[in-house]
Amino acid sequence: MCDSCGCSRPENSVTITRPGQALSGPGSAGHHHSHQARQGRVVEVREAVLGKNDGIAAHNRAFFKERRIVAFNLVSSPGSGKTTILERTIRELRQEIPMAVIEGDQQTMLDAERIDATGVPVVQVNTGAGCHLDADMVHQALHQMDLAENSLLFIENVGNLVCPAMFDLGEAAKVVIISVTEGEDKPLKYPAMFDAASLCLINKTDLLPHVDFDVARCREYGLRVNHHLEFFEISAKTGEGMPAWLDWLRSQI
Amino acid sequence: MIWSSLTLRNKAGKKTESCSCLAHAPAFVYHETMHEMSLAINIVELVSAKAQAAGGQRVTSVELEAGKLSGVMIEALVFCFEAATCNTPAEGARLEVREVEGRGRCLGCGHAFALDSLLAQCPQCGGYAVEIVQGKELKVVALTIDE
Repeated sequence: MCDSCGCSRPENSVTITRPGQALSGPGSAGHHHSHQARQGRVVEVREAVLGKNDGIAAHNRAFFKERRIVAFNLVSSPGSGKTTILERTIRELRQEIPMAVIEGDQQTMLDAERIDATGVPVVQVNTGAGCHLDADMVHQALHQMDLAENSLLFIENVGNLVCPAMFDLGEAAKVVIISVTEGEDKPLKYPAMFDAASLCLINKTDLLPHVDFDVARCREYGLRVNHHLEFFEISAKTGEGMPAWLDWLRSQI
Repeated sequence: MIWSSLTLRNKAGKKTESCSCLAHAPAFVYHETMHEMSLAINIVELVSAKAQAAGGQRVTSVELEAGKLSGVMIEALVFCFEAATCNTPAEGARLEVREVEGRGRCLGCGHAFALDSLLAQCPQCGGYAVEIVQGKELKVVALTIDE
């Protein structure tokens, strides 16, 4: 109990629990306030913290709509195979649909170089130490590109299953990728991302015989978090399962 | 604190200029190692502009509403806010955060209930198809200024 105002502890949203203990809920509401009386003039605001980002995202979205560009925001942990999926997707679809890519990474041109080798337009955004792309970065990247009408734009976000969930880039949908070398419990551990996504690609299915990943359970966990989530099981390496994903992309144009 | 500027590179690896349109008034956009830092900077920019528009010299406190399902770690945000206010009209301002409970409605049976996670199960029917009706918001409610 807080001595000053009686609001209850614990105040932290961090919880620390031993195995076997019931997982304690995060701290109760409302402790993060001062007990000093206010002085000065109060100005009402009532604006979203990410209002500026959302405004730029809306601007990006309007641009996409006008050009009939369908943009997807690809999000996942590092190493799930986002770039390999894009390489394969581009190779399979480039005769049918114009495509372009915005690559997001903290450092290096490595992913942009891989995409460049496929022959589609690509811009690399290096965020420095930044953990996610935001709408303004995408906006700036768009100014560096000449995108075709009736095309697909893939925005490969920084590999991070937490922060990119909060930032609207103006995309038509977030596509979350999970590889079978990760745990099938990722949707439960990182629910915000699976909640924000519309589609989930389960990648590296060629490795299923060698790992303990339970695909059915992964789907079930994903649906617990987001009952609208759709799934495709693919191996970007072997091409297994890719046709369904490609058909889905065709249907979005 | 680690600050880093955003760089955009074309396929030749050449750094390109920031775009000159109005949305990009600062020459560089600063981003950080966790999203709470981004949020803190957004809050500081927002309240500094509001304070200036209201004729205030200094922001002394900021009242924030943060839903429990908004994906924000309050402690980290408060920590980042203090750093983000340096050399701004909000330097030294208190960040007062009111947490908003999560509320959900079961799409199976219609039961409405409190929840503290996006992983919500209806306590009445056990279903997971739950519509989040409250708790994702993150907004600046008000600020206090010295004139």
